[in-house]
Parts: sequence; C-alpha cells; structure tokens
Amino acid sequence: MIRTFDLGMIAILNGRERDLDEWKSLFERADPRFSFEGVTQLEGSNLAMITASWMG
Amino acid sequence: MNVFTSRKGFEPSHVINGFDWQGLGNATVVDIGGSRGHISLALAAQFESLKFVVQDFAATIEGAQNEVPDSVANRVSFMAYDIFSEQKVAAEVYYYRWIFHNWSDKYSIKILRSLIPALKPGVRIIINDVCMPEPGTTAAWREKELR
Repeated sequence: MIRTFDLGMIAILNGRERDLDEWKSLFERADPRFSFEGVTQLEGSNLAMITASWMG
Repeated sequence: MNVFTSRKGFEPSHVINGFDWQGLGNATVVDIGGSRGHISLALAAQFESLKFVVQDFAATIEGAQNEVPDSVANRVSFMAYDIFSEQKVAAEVYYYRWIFHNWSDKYSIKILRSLIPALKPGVRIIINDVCMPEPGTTAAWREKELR
C-alpha cells in the first residue's frame, strides 16, 4: 500500500518513503552535527518516530 | 484534517506513546507543518509541562487559535511559517508529522538545515513518518500491505 503511495508521490511530488538507513543518511547529509538516534515503531502505528539530536 | 488522524494506524495515541515527552520537563515543542494543531492539542492535554508552537501556512492556521480548548489555550499557539525559511523559535523539540515523505532528499535537507540557526546542543528533532521495514523483518501480511 505504501509502495503505491510512494510511486504516486514520486510521480506527483518527487517525494518518497525512506528506510532506516535513508533516514540516517538524510540527517548526516544535512549537517554532521545532527546525531541520528534511531527509529521507534509502535505496534499498530503506520508512522514511526525518527529522532535525532543536535550536537552543536 | 480528521481524515489524517482518525484512520487506523494514524491515531495521536501513537505519538503520545512513541516518545518520552514527560522526560522533557518544562519544554517548548515546535510542531512544524502541524496544520490546525491536532497533534499538539493531544500532547498538550496529556503533558502539562509542555508548550507548543504550531507552524503552518497563514491560511491553514487562520482562526485555529480560537478553536483551542481553554484547558490548554495558554500552552498552544499558532504561527505562520514556511518550512524552508529560517527557524526563529527557540525550542527543545522540533516535530514534523507526515511532512518529509512529500519531499525529495534535496528539499528534505533544506528543511532540516532551516532549523540550524535556532538549534542548541541537545535539542531533539522528531520526524513522525513512515520508516520502511527491511524485507523479511516484519509480518508477511504487514509487509504485503506496506509494499
């Protein structure tokens, strides 16, 4: 289902769904002072909590 | 906007339970692209030591302050903001719900960089979005639904 969203988003908005490594990479490329903390995926939730902190 | 919060799998309870909000103590959370504040309102009701600034387009937040329940009205405010512009609000947490999946890496990186002028060491960034599971790491029915 989400892959279908993904194709739709690439087609319309050039957006995308990301896996853990891709989220980590996004923070790293934005700035090395972002420290990726991880992903919390709650049972029954379609959205994960992806967290990072600022090292300054 | 109820369509985005009432569907199974998108309930605000997952946000309440998915992070140690209580552990932040007295803190400000900026809810970027937070629409009319449905998530901030749910969190504010649950965690009395937290303040929320909901940022979204001026047209989106118009009148939203008037709809905030009195019980949390002094802790939830709205502010017109464009996600690519420099962040002006100092806070302990910057929260993005269902924002980044709309943007390619190029623009997602711009969104993250727009925060930097406001960031202090220890500040948290929370992205509430889909994280695709690795193939074979989740139940087959679930994986079928996701892919």
